[in-house]
Amino acid sequence: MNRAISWMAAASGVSGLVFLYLALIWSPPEQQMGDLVRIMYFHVASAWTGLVAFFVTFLAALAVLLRNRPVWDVVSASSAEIGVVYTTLTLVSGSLWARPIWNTWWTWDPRLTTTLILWFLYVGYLLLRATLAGVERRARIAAAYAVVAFIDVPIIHLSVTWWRSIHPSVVDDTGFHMPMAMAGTLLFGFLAFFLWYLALLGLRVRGALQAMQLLQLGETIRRLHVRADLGTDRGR
Amino acid sequence: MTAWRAFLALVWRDLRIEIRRPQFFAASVSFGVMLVFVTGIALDAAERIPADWAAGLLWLNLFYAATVGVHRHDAKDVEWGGGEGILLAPVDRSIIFYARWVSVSIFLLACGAVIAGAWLLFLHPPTPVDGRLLGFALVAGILGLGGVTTFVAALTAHTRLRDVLTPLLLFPLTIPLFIGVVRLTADALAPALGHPRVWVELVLAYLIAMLLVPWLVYESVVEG
Repeated sequence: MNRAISWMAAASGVSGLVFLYLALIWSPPEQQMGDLVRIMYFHVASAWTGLVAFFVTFLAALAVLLRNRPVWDVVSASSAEIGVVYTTLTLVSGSLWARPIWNTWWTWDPRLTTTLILWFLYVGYLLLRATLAGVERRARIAAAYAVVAFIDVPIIHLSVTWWRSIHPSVVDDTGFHMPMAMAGTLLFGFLAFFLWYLALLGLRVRGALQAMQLLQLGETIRRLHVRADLGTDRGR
Repeated sequence: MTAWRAFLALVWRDLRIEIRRPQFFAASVSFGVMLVFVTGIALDAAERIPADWAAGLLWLNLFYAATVGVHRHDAKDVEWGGGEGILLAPVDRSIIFYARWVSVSIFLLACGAVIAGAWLLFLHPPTPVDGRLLGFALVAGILGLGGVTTFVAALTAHTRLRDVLTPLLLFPLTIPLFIGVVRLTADALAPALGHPRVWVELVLAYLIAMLLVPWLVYESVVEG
């Protein structure tokens, strides 16, 4: 596992640097937006990766409910934490882009609104976990909430159709609405962000599992101390 | 005991407890009416408010009142240990969820009627044009709110920050429902062009999704 995480971290570092070059230097400016289009690469890539992270949280939560193994709970929580970070990046970069383009930091565009709802949902998930006592209880209750919360994700997609949106749609059923240089940069950005996600997930899961092992070791040592104390008392 | 009889017994139990000591009703109604009154002051005692605003304020007050009421309702079960006793019932856990959902929705309907009365009295919304649509919005909205509130209350039952977490989890989960019923209510007050079919579909889809999924995971929540 350690070697895989190291390779993943190295790959994400290299791809991150390449992505920076593609997004900031190589990619041409857009006709209307100019250089502001470069924010879009970070915005869209983090939005997609955030959705992937929440999907993994959902799958791991299902596994907790069906299999009840601690590792799935760790994966679910870790993925949600990373998803919240990516969604925060999405909201911040979207706001930075919206100010010069839409002349406002925030607008009640349905996709923006539902992305913020998604953020609140998973911050709520993390708070729920933080305030629940008992490892097993926390795992099951948090998993139940994560499954229900994920229902909001398709609503984000459907909301674009249900409500009138001013959000530019760069990708739809008919393909990419941008030159290949931009589409390639965007896809590479997603790949780089996704590799970062995998590396962070691996590190976070490893850390959490090690913390659990430490707790178990501490418990074993405590029991050994009790037995040793009992043996000393009998010897007297 | 058949599932249907168990369901009826659980609903009747909740109703009887509430009739004997109406804590849900008292807490929700007093808080909801006060909130409508304070909203009227915040709006500088406006003679007329637009339909969109009026609809939004009605549902905002109803949602807040629901979170206050459900705390009082569950506190009785925790206080007297009734909540744990119910888990001993030899029925599927989903029966417990649906019974609680129905009883909470009945309480919310009663509270909603009083809060809507205060809303008409204090905020002077436009006179409803489409009574059927308003009725659908109120019943569907309260059913959805009752279901999700029941689920979230079960989730937060064992948390340390229950008072804060219940609204914090409830509001994001119910925002699609909130948007739908606000639009339907606004349409009932001042009809826009075209039939608000999309909002009816949204509310119905939300109701089906939110009432099926908690049913699937409720067992894990109450046994967690």
